Parts: sequence; structure tokens; C-alpha cells
Amino acid sequence: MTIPALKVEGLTVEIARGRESFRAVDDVSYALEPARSIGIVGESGCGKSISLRAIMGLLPDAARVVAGAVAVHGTGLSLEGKGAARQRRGHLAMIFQDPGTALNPVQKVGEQIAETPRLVLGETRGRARERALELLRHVGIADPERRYDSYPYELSGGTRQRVMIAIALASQPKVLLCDEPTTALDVTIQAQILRLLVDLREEMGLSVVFVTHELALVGQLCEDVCVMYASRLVETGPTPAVLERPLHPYTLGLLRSAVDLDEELEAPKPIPGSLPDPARRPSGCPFHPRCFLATPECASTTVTLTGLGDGRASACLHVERLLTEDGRALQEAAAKAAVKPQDPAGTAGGDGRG
Amino acid sequence: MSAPELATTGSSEQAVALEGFVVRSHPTLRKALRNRSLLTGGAIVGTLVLIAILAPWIARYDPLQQDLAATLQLPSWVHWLGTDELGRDVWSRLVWAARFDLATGFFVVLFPFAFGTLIGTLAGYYGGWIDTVLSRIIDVVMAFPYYVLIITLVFVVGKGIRGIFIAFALADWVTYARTVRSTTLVARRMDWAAAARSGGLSDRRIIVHHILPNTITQAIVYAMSDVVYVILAVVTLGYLGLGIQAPQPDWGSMIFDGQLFMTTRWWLSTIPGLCVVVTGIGLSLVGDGLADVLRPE
Repeated sequence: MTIPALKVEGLTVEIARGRESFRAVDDVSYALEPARSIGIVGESGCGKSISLRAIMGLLPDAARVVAGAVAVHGTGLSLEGKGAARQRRGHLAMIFQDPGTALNPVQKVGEQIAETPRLVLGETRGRARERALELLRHVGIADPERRYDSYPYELSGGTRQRVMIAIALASQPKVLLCDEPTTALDVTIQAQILRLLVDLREEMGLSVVFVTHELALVGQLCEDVCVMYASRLVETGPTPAVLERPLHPYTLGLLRSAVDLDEELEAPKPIPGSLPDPARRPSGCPFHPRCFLATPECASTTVTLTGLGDGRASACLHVERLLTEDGRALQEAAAKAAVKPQDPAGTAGGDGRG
Repeated sequence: MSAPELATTGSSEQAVALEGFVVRSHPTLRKALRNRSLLTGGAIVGTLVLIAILAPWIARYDPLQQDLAATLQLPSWVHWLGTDELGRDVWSRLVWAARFDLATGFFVVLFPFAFGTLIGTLAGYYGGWIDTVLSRIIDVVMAFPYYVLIITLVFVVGKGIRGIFIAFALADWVTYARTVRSTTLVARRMDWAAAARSGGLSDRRIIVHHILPNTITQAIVYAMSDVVYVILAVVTLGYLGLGIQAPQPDWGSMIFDGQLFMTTRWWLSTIPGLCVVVTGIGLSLVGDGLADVLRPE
């Protein structure tokens, strides 16, 4: 068995809010094989970004890791303390969501890239500059000599994101953590940046964790996928299999709520309800109030991620039904059943006016 | 074609090119040259500073030279702004007072600026108990009314310039500390600070090269208005008899001395007062302009 590039085990993060505290990340575990990508998908607020920051040792003040372990190529990394982030140099680097806030506005971008080579890796000033120019070229920036002396505000969003990737690469990481790296960009630029990340992964043998709320992106980029809901992983497995036949109602809901241009034109089917407040998570399976398969037991039984063979796992009490029946049909039926009771009222209203 | 001519052309072209390069490659400088309030304020403050520096040549008499035979004279070609109650030339005193008051303003502000910025940065960056302790100290100093504190301190330490230095050093740094602390709190949570940390850079490097360039702007802008406050405080203290001691010319004591003759020699108080106002406007404009120019985009 190979040593995973990144192994996350039982990661649990608590955030204090006023006097109470809640779990923003609850017992999250996954392993990323070298030179592969894993996608972490979920709605905004499900805890996926916080989990990345916890791995990077960059949690905000109010949050702390209460349990868990992180190892890069077998080397354990500490999750606590101010120095934790600094220890990541050479192991992990992160690409942030918003290139607008991820570059220091008052420093030339070239200097921001050259800093780590010069001050941490001990290169001379000239060598560090060479290295920065090389990286700028590597991330596809034309005319790196000129761009070296640019300030972030002089650059477009896509170029800033490229610079940020160059900064991340300057610290020579083995694993790249991408926190929705394309959400803040135009669609055309998104495609370019994704292409760049794929190329870099291949050229440099990087392993990539890719956090996003778009399942389609994961389908293009990642061998494996983890679906996160309300701070927990609800389904994991190889991406093609998960997309083909989701084994958790939430994954199915995510798939169905996306607009699919390949299929015949069909309105997206959003998941009813909204993500619960992490401090007031429903009992039992946190997804049960929004779930079309929910039964009374779902509210009382604690579900955990259970292996199903072929590298797949799901945290659903009724996973048997999804294995044997057609999930889509089940969902359709449930949707119809949910609409029916309201129907007579709607018709009556129509009659009254007519 | 003579060689010297060529050389001249060449060097002036070089100079123009160099200037163009400097301006183009420094967006801040470019913005500064377009900023109207900075230019206006800079012109006012620049003129005042020039007058202050050139005081020995601009003043026409010794500002301490009394002439009891020629007191309270009207403005004339001999005494441009007349003489005061001791027969001293008002114009000369005004010019020397500019030198003294401006220098006092700038130097008094230096220590609070540097110390407050340091404390604010440490508190904001490190947080935790360091922040708790420093913030409580700031709160305690802030709890006193500003002028009451300054006046009390000057009274305790001793009047005159030494007292003013010490009083401001003790009381004035908290404003800088508080401003810088809050901007540091924001800056250190930015993703670029996180990226710098995960790139393995030391705290010192991050503070000096990443955080401070973003936070110090606020402190610099405040320092501009603070110079005005210090000059006003010196004037006020002078009025209370705690400030600059006679016979040192200073706008505050000139206002104070002149008020007895307000009805017949109004300019004795009014003109030094106007000097304070003009200095205030100039420095405020510079502060505003700097805030615009230095604000990161």
C-alpha cells in the first residue's frame, strides 16, 4: 500500500460563537493518493473551506481543532499553535478563493513570489528573482519581466489567480489545497485556470485537494470525490461512480439541482429547504428534514460513513434503496407526493377566480 | 555641430526620461502629483516650513530685541506688522514662532507615532494575552479627557518644552496604537497574510514587509492632523501659562499677550491666530491627500 500524499483523519473543528460553540467540521477523514486529485463538494457553509484552513493551520481565532490528525507523505503536521502554518512550507500550499484579497496590495507581485525562495529557502536575491520569473512563466503569464514589477491592482482577476498559484508553488509544496479557486472568476478565465491546475499537477506531480460547490468541476478534475453536508462527509468514492449512481440522497440532490446542458433541457431541481445552522443541527441524520427518503428513524438514528465496496462509502440509513432502486425515480415520486396535498387548494383558488 | 551642445541635449533627454520612468514606475507618486488636496496642502505647509527654515533671513529684527521707546507701533515700512507692548518687531516674532511651533509639532508627534504604531501592531498581530494587556493599558489612558491629561502631566512634569514632550509621549501614543491595532487585526486575517505564513516567512518579516505597509498609512494620516493638535495644545498651554515660556516667540503666547490690546491693536492676536489656522488647514489637506494617495487599491 502506498503512503497517501495527504491523509486527514477524524478532523474535527469547533467554532465558538458567543457562549456556545458548534462543530464546523465533524470527523472528516480522507486520503489522497500521490499525483491525484480529490474533490470536496458541498453547499456554501457546509464546512469545506474551514476544513482546508484547519489542514493549513490557518484557522480564524474563534475556531480550533478539537480532534484529528493530518499527515503529508507520512509526516504528521501539528494542527495547533501560531507556528502551525509555517510548518506547512514544503508540504502544503493553499490557493485562495478570492484573488482580490490573497495578494498583498502594496507589494510588487514578483517580490511576493520571490520572498519564500529568498528568505526561507536561502536563495540569493538574483536567484530568487530568476525563480520568480520562471514561476510566472510557468503559470502562463506573458512578459514576466514586466509583470514582476506590477502591483496586484494593475492585474486582471485571472492574472492575479495565476500569480497566487505561482506564490503557492514557490514554497515547493507536495500537495496543493485549492479553495474554490475559480469561483471569483469569469467563466472563460475559470476554464484557463482549471487547465493550468491540471497541467501543473501532471508536470510537477502535485497532489490536489479541490474544494468547490460545483460537482461538474469535480467530474472534470478529480479521481475521487467527498460530498460534505452540515460539517460531515456523507458520501465518498471514485468520481465517475459517484456521479453515475449517487448513493446518498444529498449527492443525488446536488446532481439534480445543477443545470445539465448535455441532457435534454430540463429545469434544475433544487433541494428543498436550506442548510441547517451548524449550531442547531437536526438530530440523527442532519439531512433528514430535506430528504426524500426520510423516515422517522432517520431523525433518531446516528448515521456514519459506511463502506460499500469499490472504494465507495455513504452515510445514509436507506442506502439499500438507492442501491436497488432508481434514485431519480424515487426522488421524482417523492417530489410529486409532496406537491399533491397542496394541489386542491391551488385548484380551488384558480376556480374561484375563473 | 559642437560637441557640448550634443552633450547637453543628451543629458536633458536623459533627465526627462528618468523623470518619466520614476513617475511611471511609482503609481503612488503619479497619484500624488494628481491629488489636488495634497498639492494645495503641500504648498501651504511647504511655504510655512520654508519660512521657518529661512527665519534668520526673513525676520528683519531680533525677535527678542525690546525697544520700550517704540511699543505698540502701527504697521509701517520699518515694522511691517508693527511692534508689541515691549516694542519687539511682530513680523520677526511671527517668523521665529513659525520655526519653533512647527518644529515642536513635528518632533512632539514623532515618539507617540512610533511607539503607538509599534504597540498597536504587536497587539493586533499577536492577539491573545498580549492584546488583552496592551488594550487595557490603552483603555486606561483613553479614559482620561485628553486635554485634562495633557495639562495635568505638563503641570506635574514641569512647564515648558520638556513638559510638553513628556506629556504627549505619555498621553498621545494611544490614539496611534488603537488605530493601528484595528487595521492590523484586519490585515492579519487577509489571505495574503495567511499565504505569507504558510510560505514559511517569519513573524518579523510578515509584520515589517506585509502588515506595516498596509497599516501605517492610517497612522501617517493621523500624524498630520496630530501635528495640528499638538500646535493647538502648545498654544492652549501657552495661554494657560504652562506652555512655552517667555521670551521665546510662539504663536500661543503671542495670542495671549496680544489680547489685552484687542480693541486698538487687533492684529497682535489675530495674525498669530490666523497662522495657526493656516497651518491647520495645510496639514489637514496633506493628511487627506495622503489618505487618498496611500490607500491600497
